[in-house]
Amino acid sequence: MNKLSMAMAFCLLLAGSIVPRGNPSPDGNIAAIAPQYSLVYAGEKDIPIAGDSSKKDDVDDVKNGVDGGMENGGNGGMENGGDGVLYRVMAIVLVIWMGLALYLFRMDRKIVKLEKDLNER
Amino acid sequence: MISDVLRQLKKDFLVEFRSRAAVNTALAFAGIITLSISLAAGGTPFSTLVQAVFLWIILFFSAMNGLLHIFTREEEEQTSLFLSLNVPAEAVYLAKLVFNIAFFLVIEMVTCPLFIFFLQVTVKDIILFVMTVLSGGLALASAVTMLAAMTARAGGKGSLFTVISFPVVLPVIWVSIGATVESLQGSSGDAWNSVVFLLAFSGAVTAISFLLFRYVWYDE
Amino acid sequence: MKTGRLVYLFMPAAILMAFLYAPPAAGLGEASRIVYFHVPLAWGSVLAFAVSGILSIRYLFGSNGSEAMLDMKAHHSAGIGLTFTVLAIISGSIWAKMSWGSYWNWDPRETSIVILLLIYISYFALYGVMSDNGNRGRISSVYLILVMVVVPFFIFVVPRVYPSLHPDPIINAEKKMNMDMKMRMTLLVSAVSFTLLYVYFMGMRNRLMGIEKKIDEKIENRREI
Repeated sequence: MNKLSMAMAFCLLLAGSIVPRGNPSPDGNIAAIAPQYSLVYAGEKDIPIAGDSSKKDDVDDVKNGVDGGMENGGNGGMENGGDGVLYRVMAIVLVIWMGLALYLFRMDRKIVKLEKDLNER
Repeated sequence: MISDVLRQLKKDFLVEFRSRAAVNTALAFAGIITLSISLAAGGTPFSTLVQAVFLWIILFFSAMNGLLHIFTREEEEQTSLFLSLNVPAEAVYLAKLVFNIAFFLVIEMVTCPLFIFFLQVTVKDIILFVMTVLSGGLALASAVTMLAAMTARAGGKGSLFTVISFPVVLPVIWVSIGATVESLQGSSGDAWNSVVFLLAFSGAVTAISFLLFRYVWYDE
Repeated sequence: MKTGRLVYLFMPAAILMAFLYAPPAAGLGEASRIVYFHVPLAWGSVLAFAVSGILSIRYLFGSNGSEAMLDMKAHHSAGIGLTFTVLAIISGSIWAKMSWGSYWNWDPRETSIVILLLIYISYFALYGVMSDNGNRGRISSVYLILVMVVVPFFIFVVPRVYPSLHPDPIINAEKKMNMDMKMRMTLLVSAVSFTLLYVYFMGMRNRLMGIEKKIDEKIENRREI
Protein backbone atom coordinates (compact mmCIF):
# COMPACT_ATOMS: atom_id res chain seq x y z
CA MET A 1 0.00 0.00 0.00
CA ASN A 2 2.91 2.32 0.47
CA LYS A 3 3.61 2.73 -3.20
CA LEU A 4 0.01 3.53 -3.90
CA SER A 5 -0.31 6.14 -1.21
CA MET A 6 2.91 7.76 -2.32
CA ALA A 7 1.57 7.86 -5.87
CA MET A 8 -1.69 9.43 -4.77
CA ALA A 9 0.11 12.01 -2.66
CA PHE A 10 2.28 12.89 -5.62
CA CYS A 11 -0.80 13.32 -7.79
CA LEU A 12 -2.45 15.59 -5.28
CA LEU A 13 0.66 17.73 -5.17
CA LEU A 14 0.70 17.83 -8.94
CA ALA A 15 -2.94 18.87 -8.98
CA GLY A 16 -2.30 21.47 -6.37
CA SER A 17 0.45 23.05 -8.36
CA ILE A 18 -1.34 23.24 -11.66
CA VAL A 19 -4.97 23.91 -10.76
CA PRO A 20 -4.59 27.71 -10.45
CA ARG A 21 -4.37 27.81 -14.23
CA GLY A 22 -7.62 25.89 -14.60
CA ASN A 23 -11.11 27.16 -15.33
CA PRO A 24 -11.61 30.88 -15.34
CA SER A 25 -14.27 32.52 -13.24
CA PRO A 26 -15.78 36.00 -13.44
CA ASP A 27 -14.03 37.32 -10.37
CA GLY A 28 -10.93 35.15 -10.50
CA ASN A 29 -11.39 33.54 -7.14
CA ILE A 30 -11.33 29.78 -7.35
CA ALA A 31 -12.59 29.34 -3.84
CA ALA A 32 -15.77 31.20 -4.72
CA ILE A 33 -16.85 28.88 -7.50
CA ALA A 34 -15.45 25.66 -6.12
CA PRO A 35 -15.49 25.63 -2.37
CA GLN A 36 -14.31 22.04 -2.23
CA TYR A 37 -11.04 23.23 -3.60
CA SER A 38 -10.43 25.68 -0.85
CA LEU A 39 -9.02 22.69 1.02
CA VAL A 40 -6.04 22.71 -1.27
CA TYR A 41 -5.90 26.42 -1.65
CA ALA A 42 -6.03 27.40 1.96
CA GLY A 43 -3.75 30.34 2.35
CA GLU A 44 -3.55 31.39 -1.27
CA LYS A 45 -5.03 34.74 -1.90
CA ASP A 46 -4.57 36.06 -5.42
CA ILE A 47 -4.79 33.15 -7.77
CA PRO A 48 -3.84 34.09 -11.33
CA ILE A 49 -6.19 32.68 -13.93
CA ALA A 50 -5.49 31.33 -17.37
CA GLY A 51 -1.79 32.07 -17.61
CA ASP A 52 -1.22 35.04 -19.88
CA SER A 53 -4.43 36.89 -20.39
CA SER A 54 -2.88 38.99 -23.11
CA LYS A 55 -3.39 36.19 -25.62
CA LYS A 56 -6.95 35.67 -26.72
CA ASP A 57 -7.49 31.96 -26.43
CA ASP A 58 -10.49 29.70 -26.82
CA VAL A 59 -11.65 30.41 -23.31
CA ASP A 60 -12.43 34.03 -24.11
CA ASP A 61 -14.82 32.88 -26.82
CA VAL A 62 -16.66 30.77 -24.30
CA LYS A 63 -16.86 33.61 -21.85
CA ASN A 64 -18.18 35.96 -24.51
CA GLY A 65 -21.04 33.63 -25.30
CA VAL A 66 -19.98 32.01 -28.55
CA ASP A 67 -22.06 28.93 -29.13
CA GLY A 68 -20.72 26.23 -26.89
CA GLY A 69 -21.62 23.26 -29.01
CA MET A 70 -24.91 21.44 -29.49
CA GLU A 71 -27.49 22.58 -32.00
CA ASN A 72 -29.73 25.61 -31.55
CA GLY A 73 -27.28 27.62 -29.52
CA GLY A 74 -27.40 25.13 -26.74
CA ASN A 75 -25.13 24.84 -23.81
CA GLY A 76 -22.47 22.49 -25.00
CA GLY A 77 -20.49 22.32 -21.86
CA MET A 78 -22.74 22.97 -18.98
CA GLU A 79 -20.86 26.10 -18.07
CA ASN A 80 -23.95 27.60 -16.57
CA GLY A 81 -25.50 24.24 -15.82
CA GLY A 82 -24.21 24.34 -12.31
CA ASP A 83 -21.00 25.60 -10.89
CA GLY A 84 -18.88 22.74 -9.84
CA VAL A 85 -20.52 20.19 -12.14
CA LEU A 86 -17.17 19.76 -13.76
CA TYR A 87 -15.56 19.04 -10.43
CA ARG A 88 -18.23 16.56 -9.57
CA VAL A 89 -17.67 14.71 -12.84
CA MET A 90 -13.97 14.75 -12.19
CA ALA A 91 -14.50 13.38 -8.71
CA ILE A 92 -16.60 10.55 -10.11
CA VAL A 93 -13.96 9.71 -12.69
CA LEU A 94 -11.29 9.75 -10.01
CA VAL A 95 -13.33 7.44 -7.83
CA ILE A 96 -13.79 5.03 -10.74
CA TRP A 97 -10.08 5.16 -11.39
CA MET A 98 -9.25 4.55 -7.76
CA GLY A 99 -11.49 1.50 -7.71
CA LEU A 100 -9.82 0.16 -10.83
CA ALA A 101 -6.37 0.96 -9.47
CA LEU A 102 -7.14 -0.84 -6.23
CA TYR A 103 -8.25 -3.91 -8.14
CA LEU A 104 -5.18 -3.82 -10.37
CA PHE A 105 -2.89 -3.37 -7.41
CA ARG A 106 -4.33 -6.36 -5.58
CA MET A 107 -4.07 -8.46 -8.73
CA ASP A 108 -0.46 -7.39 -9.18
CA ARG A 109 0.45 -8.34 -5.65
CA LYS A 110 -1.20 -11.75 -5.99
CA ILE A 111 0.76 -12.43 -9.16
CA VAL A 112 4.03 -11.38 -7.55
CA LYS A 113 3.30 -13.68 -4.60
CA LEU A 114 2.52 -16.60 -6.93
CA GLU A 115 5.69 -16.06 -8.89
CA LYS A 116 7.76 -15.98 -5.73
CA ASP A 117 6.13 -19.14 -4.42
CA LEU A 118 6.74 -20.99 -7.66
CA ASN A 119 10.34 -19.95 -7.88
CA GLU A 120 11.06 -21.00 -4.35
CA ARG A 121 9.56 -24.47 -4.57
CA MET B 1 5.24 -27.88 -59.00
CA ILE B 2 3.22 -26.68 -61.97
CA SER B 3 2.43 -30.28 -62.81
CA ASP B 4 1.21 -30.83 -59.26
CA VAL B 5 -1.03 -27.81 -59.54
CA LEU B 6 -2.43 -28.91 -62.86
CA ARG B 7 -3.04 -32.41 -61.65
CA GLN B 8 -4.84 -31.13 -58.56
CA LEU B 9 -6.93 -28.80 -60.68
CA LYS B 10 -7.96 -31.57 -63.00
CA LYS B 11 -8.89 -33.75 -60.06
CA ASP B 12 -10.95 -31.00 -58.45
CA PHE B 13 -12.81 -30.17 -61.61
CA LEU B 14 -13.53 -33.80 -62.30
CA VAL B 15 -14.80 -34.50 -58.80
CA GLU B 16 -16.94 -31.41 -58.63
CA PHE B 17 -18.50 -31.87 -62.00
CA ARG B 18 -19.03 -35.56 -61.62
CA SER B 19 -21.76 -35.08 -59.08
CA ARG B 20 -22.37 -31.38 -59.70
CA ALA B 21 -24.33 -31.16 -56.49
CA ALA B 22 -22.26 -28.38 -55.02
CA VAL B 23 -22.20 -26.37 -58.21
CA ASN B 24 -25.92 -26.72 -58.69
CA THR B 25 -26.62 -25.71 -55.11
CA ALA B 26 -24.48 -22.61 -55.40
CA LEU B 27 -26.08 -21.57 -58.67
CA ALA B 28 -29.56 -22.24 -57.34
CA PHE B 29 -28.73 -20.13 -54.30
CA ALA B 30 -27.67 -17.18 -56.44
CA GLY B 31 -30.71 -17.51 -58.65
CA ILE B 32 -33.11 -17.75 -55.74
CA ILE B 33 -31.81 -14.64 -54.06
CA THR B 34 -32.10 -12.64 -57.26
CA LEU B 35 -35.60 -13.89 -57.83
CA SER B 36 -36.69 -13.18 -54.27
CA ILE B 37 -35.45 -9.62 -54.45
CA SER B 38 -37.21 -9.08 -57.72
CA LEU B 39 -40.44 -10.66 -56.49
CA ALA B 40 -40.39 -8.75 -53.24
CA ALA B 41 -39.81 -5.49 -55.05
CA GLY B 42 -42.79 -6.15 -57.27
CA GLY B 43 -41.41 -4.43 -60.29
CA THR B 44 -40.47 -1.16 -58.63
CA PRO B 45 -37.44 0.30 -60.33
CA PHE B 46 -34.54 0.84 -57.99
CA SER B 47 -31.93 3.55 -58.12
CA THR B 48 -28.56 2.55 -59.52
CA LEU B 49 -26.99 2.59 -56.07
CA VAL B 50 -29.55 0.14 -54.73
CA GLN B 51 -29.14 -2.09 -57.77
CA ALA B 52 -25.38 -2.16 -57.35
CA VAL B 53 -25.73 -2.93 -53.66
CA PHE B 54 -28.09 -5.79 -54.40
CA LEU B 55 -25.78 -7.24 -56.99
CA TRP B 56 -22.82 -7.35 -54.66
CA ILE B 57 -24.84 -8.63 -51.73
CA ILE B 58 -26.07 -11.47 -53.90
CA LEU B 59 -22.54 -12.21 -55.05
CA PHE B 60 -21.14 -12.00 -51.53
CA PHE B 61 -23.62 -14.44 -50.09
CA SER B 62 -23.29 -16.79 -53.03
CA ALA B 63 -19.56 -16.77 -52.40
CA MET B 64 -20.09 -17.48 -48.72
CA ASN B 65 -22.31 -20.35 -49.67
CA GLY B 66 -20.27 -21.90 -52.42
CA LEU B 67 -16.57 -21.19 -52.00
CA LEU B 68 -16.17 -23.16 -48.81
CA HIS B 69 -17.08 -26.43 -50.41
CA ILE B 70 -13.75 -27.17 -52.03
CA PHE B 71 -12.05 -27.47 -48.66
CA THR B 72 -14.82 -28.99 -46.59
CA ARG B 73 -15.17 -31.75 -49.15
CA GLU B 74 -11.58 -32.71 -48.45
CA GLU B 75 -12.28 -32.75 -44.73
CA GLU B 76 -15.52 -34.69 -45.05
CA GLU B 77 -14.16 -37.31 -47.37
CA GLN B 78 -11.03 -37.44 -45.24
CA THR B 79 -8.72 -37.04 -48.16
CA SER B 80 -7.03 -33.98 -46.70
CA LEU B 81 -4.44 -35.97 -44.77
CA PHE B 82 -3.47 -37.89 -47.86
CA LEU B 83 -3.31 -34.68 -49.82
CA SER B 84 -1.14 -32.91 -47.29
CA LEU B 85 1.33 -35.77 -47.32
CA ASN B 86 1.65 -36.16 -51.04
CA VAL B 87 1.29 -32.74 -52.57
CA PRO B 88 3.19 -29.63 -51.46
CA ALA B 89 0.99 -27.08 -49.70
CA GLU B 90 1.64 -24.36 -52.26
CA ALA B 91 0.44 -26.56 -55.06
CA VAL B 92 -2.73 -27.37 -53.17
CA TYR B 93 -3.31 -23.69 -52.53
CA LEU B 94 -2.84 -22.68 -56.15
CA ALA B 95 -5.10 -25.42 -57.40
CA LYS B 96 -7.86 -24.54 -54.93
CA LEU B 97 -7.44 -20.86 -55.72
CA VAL B 98 -7.83 -21.34 -59.44
CA PHE B 99 -10.80 -23.60 -58.85
CA ASN B 100 -12.49 -21.07 -56.59
CA ILE B 101 -11.90 -18.25 -59.06
CA ALA B 102 -13.34 -20.32 -61.88
CA PHE B 103 -16.26 -21.40 -59.72
CA PHE B 104 -17.04 -17.84 -58.77
CA LEU B 105 -16.82 -16.70 -62.36
CA VAL B 106 -19.42 -19.30 -63.24
CA ILE B 107 -21.63 -18.03 -60.42
CA GLU B 108 -21.19 -14.48 -61.71
CA MET B 109 -21.99 -15.47 -65.27
CA VAL B 110 -25.27 -16.90 -64.07
CA THR B 111 -26.10 -14.16 -61.58
CA CYS B 112 -25.41 -11.08 -63.68
CA PRO B 113 -27.80 -11.82 -66.55
CA LEU B 114 -30.51 -12.80 -64.05
CA PHE B 115 -29.82 -9.60 -62.17
CA ILE B 116 -29.97 -7.44 -65.27
CA PHE B 117 -33.08 -9.16 -66.47
CA PHE B 118 -35.13 -9.33 -63.31
CA LEU B 119 -34.22 -6.04 -61.70
CA GLN B 120 -34.62 -4.08 -64.90
CA VAL B 121 -31.10 -2.80 -64.92
CA THR B 122 -29.74 -0.77 -67.78
CA VAL B 123 -25.99 -0.85 -68.05
CA LYS B 124 -24.64 2.27 -69.66
CA ASP B 125 -20.96 1.36 -69.65
CA ILE B 126 -20.80 -2.33 -70.41
CA ILE B 127 -17.03 -2.66 -70.52
CA LEU B 128 -16.64 -1.09 -67.11
CA PHE B 129 -19.43 -3.24 -65.73
CA VAL B 130 -17.86 -6.43 -67.01
CA MET B 131 -14.41 -5.43 -65.78
CA THR B 132 -15.78 -4.50 -62.38
CA VAL B 133 -17.62 -7.77 -62.00
CA LEU B 134 -14.59 -9.74 -63.15
CA SER B 135 -12.02 -7.96 -61.00
CA GLY B 136 -14.33 -7.83 -58.02
CA GLY B 137 -14.99 -11.53 -58.41
CA LEU B 138 -11.27 -12.20 -58.66
CA ALA B 139 -10.62 -10.20 -55.50
CA LEU B 140 -13.45 -11.87 -53.62
CA ALA B 141 -12.49 -15.40 -54.59
CA SER B 142 -8.78 -14.94 -53.89
CA ALA B 143 -9.46 -13.29 -50.53
CA VAL B 144 -11.69 -16.05 -49.26
CA THR B 145 -9.82 -19.13 -50.47
CA MET B 146 -7.35 -18.97 -47.61
CA LEU B 147 -10.18 -18.23 -45.17
CA ALA B 148 -12.06 -21.24 -46.50
CA ALA B 149 -9.05 -23.41 -45.73
CA MET B 150 -8.90 -21.97 -42.22
CA THR B 151 -12.60 -22.58 -41.66
CA ALA B 152 -12.35 -26.12 -42.92
CA ARG B 153 -9.45 -26.79 -40.58
CA ALA B 154 -11.32 -25.19 -37.69
CA GLY B 155 -14.36 -27.40 -37.99
CA GLY B 156 -16.06 -26.26 -41.14
CA LYS B 157 -19.17 -24.49 -39.92
CA GLY B 158 -20.51 -22.25 -42.64
CA SER B 159 -21.41 -19.31 -40.45
CA LEU B 160 -17.85 -19.07 -39.18
CA PHE B 161 -16.75 -18.62 -42.77
CA THR B 162 -19.08 -15.66 -43.26
CA VAL B 163 -18.03 -14.08 -39.99
CA ILE B 164 -14.31 -14.24 -40.64
CA SER B 165 -14.63 -13.31 -44.30
CA PHE B 166 -16.59 -10.16 -43.81
CA PRO B 167 -13.84 -7.79 -42.58
CA VAL B 168 -11.47 -9.04 -45.25
CA VAL B 169 -13.99 -8.76 -48.07
CA LEU B 170 -15.48 -5.41 -47.06
CA PRO B 171 -13.07 -3.20 -49.09
CA VAL B 172 -13.77 -5.34 -52.15
CA ILE B 173 -17.51 -4.92 -51.77
CA TRP B 174 -17.29 -1.19 -51.17
CA VAL B 175 -15.07 -0.49 -54.12
CA SER B 176 -17.00 -2.83 -56.38
CA ILE B 177 -20.30 -1.21 -55.49
CA GLY B 178 -18.86 2.20 -56.24
CA ALA B 179 -17.50 1.12 -59.58
CA THR B 180 -20.72 -0.71 -60.48
CA VAL B 181 -22.76 2.40 -59.76
CA GLU B 182 -20.50 4.34 -62.10
CA SER B 183 -20.89 1.74 -64.79
CA LEU B 184 -24.67 1.68 -64.45
CA GLN B 185 -24.82 5.44 -64.66
CA GLY B 186 -22.30 5.66 -67.46
CA SER B 187 -20.12 8.23 -65.72
CA SER B 188 -16.89 6.29 -65.65
CA GLY B 189 -14.39 8.98 -64.73
CA ASP B 190 -12.10 7.51 -62.14
CA ALA B 191 -13.98 4.25 -61.76
CA TRP B 192 -11.12 2.52 -63.53
CA ASN B 193 -9.04 3.28 -60.46
CA SER B 194 -11.42 1.00 -58.63
CA VAL B 195 -10.67 -1.81 -61.03
CA VAL B 196 -6.96 -1.28 -60.47
CA PHE B 197 -7.59 -1.25 -56.72
CA LEU B 198 -9.41 -4.58 -56.93
CA LEU B 199 -6.64 -6.15 -58.96
CA ALA B 200 -4.04 -4.85 -56.52
CA PHE B 201 -6.08 -6.24 -53.67
CA SER B 202 -6.25 -9.65 -55.33
CA GLY B 203 -2.52 -9.61 -55.84
CA ALA B 204 -1.70 -8.66 -52.29
CA VAL B 205 -4.06 -11.14 -50.70
CA THR B 206 -3.00 -13.96 -53.00
CA ALA B 207 0.65 -13.29 -52.24
CA ILE B 208 0.20 -13.28 -48.50
CA SER B 209 -2.06 -16.34 -48.62
CA PHE B 210 0.50 -18.18 -50.71
CA LEU B 211 3.14 -17.47 -48.10
CA LEU B 212 1.00 -18.42 -45.14
CA PHE B 213 -0.96 -21.37 -46.48
CA ARG B 214 1.42 -24.00 -45.23
CA TYR B 215 0.88 -22.88 -41.63
CA VAL B 216 -2.82 -23.49 -42.02
CA TRP B 217 -2.62 -26.65 -44.07
CA TYR B 218 -0.14 -28.73 -42.13
CA ASP B 219 -0.99 -30.15 -38.74
CA GLU B 220 2.03 -29.91 -36.51
CA MET C 1 8.52 -5.23 -16.93
CA LYS C 2 7.79 -2.73 -14.22
CA THR C 3 6.82 0.12 -16.55
CA GLY C 4 3.18 -0.85 -16.32
CA ARG C 5 3.07 0.28 -12.72
CA LEU C 6 3.73 3.85 -13.80
CA VAL C 7 0.07 3.91 -14.76
CA TYR C 8 -0.74 4.58 -11.08
CA LEU C 9 1.10 7.83 -11.50
CA PHE C 10 0.06 8.87 -14.94
CA MET C 11 -3.63 8.08 -14.99
CA PRO C 12 -4.66 10.27 -12.03
CA ALA C 13 -2.44 12.98 -13.46
CA ALA C 14 -4.19 12.63 -16.81
CA ILE C 15 -7.63 12.77 -15.19
CA LEU C 16 -6.76 15.84 -13.19
CA MET C 17 -5.17 17.56 -16.13
CA ALA C 18 -8.11 16.75 -18.38
CA PHE C 19 -10.58 18.38 -16.03
CA LEU C 20 -8.60 21.17 -14.50
CA TYR C 21 -5.56 22.07 -16.53
CA ALA C 22 -6.85 21.99 -20.08
CA PRO C 23 -9.14 24.81 -21.14
CA PRO C 24 -12.49 24.03 -22.75
CA ALA C 25 -12.56 24.15 -26.51
CA ALA C 26 -14.35 26.89 -28.38
CA GLY C 27 -17.46 25.70 -30.13
CA LEU C 28 -17.58 22.47 -28.19
CA GLY C 29 -17.43 23.65 -24.65
CA GLU C 30 -16.62 21.66 -21.59
CA ALA C 31 -17.93 18.49 -23.21
CA SER C 32 -14.80 18.46 -25.32
CA ARG C 33 -12.91 17.12 -22.33
CA ILE C 34 -14.10 13.69 -23.30
CA VAL C 35 -11.51 13.82 -26.07
CA TYR C 36 -8.76 13.22 -23.54
CA PHE C 37 -10.25 9.81 -22.90
CA HIS C 38 -11.76 9.01 -26.27
CA VAL C 39 -8.69 9.58 -28.43
CA PRO C 40 -6.25 7.62 -26.24
CA LEU C 41 -8.71 4.71 -26.15
CA ALA C 42 -8.87 4.65 -29.94
CA TRP C 43 -5.09 4.94 -30.12
CA GLY C 44 -4.78 2.09 -27.60
CA SER C 45 -7.00 -0.16 -29.67
CA VAL C 46 -4.90 0.43 -32.78
CA LEU C 47 -1.75 -0.18 -30.76
CA ALA C 48 -3.16 -3.44 -29.41
CA PHE C 49 -4.03 -4.54 -32.94
CA ALA C 50 -0.55 -3.75 -34.23
CA VAL C 51 1.09 -5.54 -31.32
CA SER C 52 -1.02 -8.65 -31.82
CA GLY C 53 -0.14 -8.65 -35.52
CA ILE C 54 3.57 -8.35 -34.81
CA LEU C 55 3.39 -11.09 -32.19
CA SER C 56 1.62 -13.32 -34.70
CA ILE C 57 4.35 -12.76 -37.26
CA ARG C 58 7.00 -13.55 -34.69
CA TYR C 59 5.07 -16.62 -33.60
CA LEU C 60 4.95 -18.07 -37.10
CA PHE C 61 8.32 -17.00 -38.41
CA GLY C 62 10.41 -16.58 -35.29
CA SER C 63 12.67 -19.17 -33.77
CA ASN C 64 11.01 -19.66 -30.40
CA GLY C 65 7.48 -18.66 -31.14
CA SER C 66 5.68 -21.60 -29.66
CA GLU C 67 7.87 -21.75 -26.57
CA ALA C 68 7.28 -18.13 -25.74
CA MET C 69 3.56 -18.75 -26.35
CA LEU C 70 3.39 -15.71 -28.55
CA ASP C 71 0.08 -16.78 -30.01
CA MET C 72 -1.47 -16.55 -26.56
CA LYS C 73 0.13 -13.16 -26.07
CA ALA C 74 -1.37 -12.02 -29.33
CA HIS C 75 -4.72 -13.26 -28.03
CA HIS C 76 -4.28 -11.25 -24.81
CA SER C 77 -3.42 -8.15 -26.78
CA ALA C 78 -6.49 -8.62 -28.94
CA GLY C 79 -8.65 -8.94 -25.83
CA ILE C 80 -7.41 -5.66 -24.44
CA GLY C 81 -7.76 -4.08 -27.88
CA LEU C 82 -11.38 -5.21 -28.12
CA THR C 83 -12.18 -3.64 -24.75
CA PHE C 84 -10.52 -0.38 -25.75
CA THR C 85 -12.36 -0.37 -29.08
CA VAL C 86 -15.76 -0.83 -27.46
CA LEU C 87 -15.01 1.92 -24.94
CA ALA C 88 -13.79 4.22 -27.71
CA ILE C 89 -16.96 3.67 -29.71
CA ILE C 90 -19.18 4.27 -26.68
CA SER C 91 -17.33 7.43 -25.63
CA GLY C 92 -17.23 8.65 -29.21
CA SER C 93 -20.95 8.22 -29.76
CA ILE C 94 -21.78 9.94 -26.48
CA TRP C 95 -19.61 12.84 -27.53
CA ALA C 96 -21.22 12.85 -30.96
CA LYS C 97 -24.65 13.03 -29.38
CA MET C 98 -23.60 16.00 -27.28
CA SER C 99 -21.86 17.84 -30.10
CA TRP C 100 -23.92 17.01 -33.15
CA GLY C 101 -27.15 15.66 -31.75
CA SER C 102 -26.99 12.11 -33.08
CA TYR C 103 -25.25 9.06 -31.75
CA TRP C 104 -23.87 7.69 -34.99
CA ASN C 105 -22.99 9.31 -38.29
CA TRP C 106 -20.82 6.94 -40.31
CA ASP C 107 -17.96 9.39 -40.67
CA PRO C 108 -14.70 7.93 -41.94
CA ARG C 109 -13.26 7.81 -38.44
CA GLU C 110 -16.29 6.18 -36.91
CA THR C 111 -16.39 3.69 -39.76
CA SER C 112 -12.76 2.73 -39.31
CA ILE C 113 -13.20 2.04 -35.65
CA VAL C 114 -16.24 -0.12 -36.39
CA ILE C 115 -14.19 -2.05 -38.91
CA LEU C 116 -11.55 -2.60 -36.24
CA LEU C 117 -14.30 -3.87 -33.96
CA LEU C 118 -15.47 -6.28 -36.66
CA ILE C 119 -11.95 -7.55 -37.11
CA TYR C 120 -11.59 -8.20 -33.40
CA ILE C 121 -14.95 -9.95 -33.24
CA SER C 122 -14.09 -12.19 -36.17
CA TYR C 123 -10.76 -13.04 -34.59
CA PHE C 124 -12.45 -14.04 -31.36
CA ALA C 125 -15.08 -16.04 -33.23
CA LEU C 126 -12.33 -17.97 -34.99
CA TYR C 127 -10.37 -18.44 -31.77
CA GLY C 128 -13.43 -19.57 -29.85
CA VAL C 129 -14.48 -22.22 -32.34
CA MET C 130 -11.11 -23.94 -32.12
CA SER C 131 -10.92 -24.38 -28.38
CA ASP C 132 -10.01 -28.05 -28.67
CA ASN C 133 -7.92 -27.78 -31.79
CA GLY C 134 -4.16 -27.97 -31.52
CA ASN C 135 -3.72 -25.72 -34.52
CA ARG C 136 -5.56 -22.87 -32.91
CA GLY C 137 -2.51 -20.71 -32.37
CA ARG C 138 -1.28 -21.01 -35.90
CA ILE C 139 -4.60 -20.52 -37.63
CA SER C 140 -5.52 -17.47 -35.55
CA SER C 141 -2.06 -15.99 -36.13
CA VAL C 142 -2.46 -16.45 -39.86
CA TYR C 143 -5.80 -14.69 -39.68
CA LEU C 144 -4.31 -11.73 -37.87
CA ILE C 145 -1.55 -11.38 -40.41
CA LEU C 146 -3.99 -11.60 -43.31
CA VAL C 147 -6.15 -8.90 -41.77
CA MET C 148 -3.10 -6.73 -41.16
CA VAL C 149 -2.35 -6.90 -44.87
CA VAL C 150 -5.93 -5.89 -45.70
CA VAL C 151 -6.09 -2.92 -43.33
CA PRO C 152 -3.99 -0.53 -45.48
CA PHE C 153 -6.51 -1.05 -48.26
CA PHE C 154 -9.20 0.15 -45.91
CA ILE C 155 -7.35 3.37 -45.34
CA PHE C 156 -7.66 4.13 -49.03
CA VAL C 157 -11.24 3.03 -49.37
CA VAL C 158 -13.02 4.52 -46.38
CA PRO C 159 -12.59 8.22 -47.19
CA ARG C 160 -13.80 7.57 -50.72
CA VAL C 161 -16.91 5.70 -49.68
CA TYR C 162 -18.29 8.39 -47.39
CA PRO C 163 -17.26 11.67 -48.94
CA SER C 164 -20.74 12.99 -49.34
CA LEU C 165 -21.53 13.05 -45.65
CA HIS C 166 -20.97 16.19 -43.69
CA PRO C 167 -17.27 16.82 -43.12
CA ASP C 168 -16.05 15.33 -39.95
CA PRO C 169 -16.10 18.15 -37.43
CA ILE C 170 -14.11 16.13 -35.00
CA ILE C 171 -11.05 16.26 -37.22
CA ASN C 172 -11.34 19.97 -37.80
CA ALA C 173 -12.13 20.71 -34.23
CA GLU C 174 -9.24 18.59 -33.13
CA LYS C 175 -6.92 20.46 -35.42
CA LYS C 176 -8.19 23.66 -33.92
CA MET C 177 -7.97 22.33 -30.42
CA ASN C 178 -4.53 20.96 -30.81
CA MET C 179 -3.16 24.38 -31.45
CA ASP C 180 -3.47 25.05 -27.78
CA MET C 181 -0.39 24.00 -25.87
CA LYS C 182 -2.18 22.91 -22.74
CA MET C 183 -4.54 20.70 -24.66
CA ARG C 184 -1.71 19.05 -26.47
CA MET C 185 0.08 18.41 -23.20
CA THR C 186 -3.01 16.92 -21.62
CA LEU C 187 -3.66 14.76 -24.64
CA LEU C 188 -0.08 13.54 -24.55
CA VAL C 189 -0.22 12.69 -20.87
CA SER C 190 -3.53 10.93 -21.37
CA ALA C 191 -2.21 8.95 -24.35
CA VAL C 192 0.83 7.91 -22.33
CA SER C 193 -1.33 6.83 -19.42
CA PHE C 194 -3.62 4.70 -21.57
CA THR C 195 -0.62 3.15 -23.26
CA LEU C 196 0.75 2.33 -19.83
CA LEU C 197 -2.61 0.86 -18.89
CA TYR C 198 -2.42 -1.38 -21.94
CA VAL C 199 1.14 -2.40 -21.07
CA TYR C 200 0.08 -3.11 -17.50
CA PHE C 201 -2.86 -5.28 -18.53
CA MET C 202 -0.72 -7.16 -21.04
CA GLY C 203 2.00 -7.67 -18.50
CA MET C 204 -0.40 -9.09 -15.97
CA ARG C 205 -2.08 -11.48 -18.38
CA ASN C 206 1.24 -12.67 -19.73
CA ARG C 207 2.63 -13.22 -16.26
CA LEU C 208 -0.48 -15.19 -15.30
CA MET C 209 -0.01 -17.31 -18.39
CA GLY C 210 3.62 -17.91 -17.40
CA ILE C 211 2.53 -18.98 -13.95
CA GLU C 212 0.00 -21.42 -15.37
CA LYS C 213 2.65 -22.87 -17.63
CA LYS C 214 5.06 -23.32 -14.72
CA ILE C 215 2.41 -25.02 -12.64
CA ASP C 216 1.63 -27.37 -15.52
CA GLU C 217 5.32 -28.16 -15.89
CA LYS C 218 5.68 -28.87 -12.21
CA ILE C 219 2.71 -31.20 -12.32
CA GLU C 220 4.24 -32.97 -15.30
CA ASN C 221 7.58 -33.32 -13.53
CA ARG C 222 5.94 -34.69 -10.47
CA ARG C 223 4.00 -37.17 -12.51
CA GLU C 224 7.14 -38.43 -14.20
CA ILE C 225 8.88 -38.89 -10.90
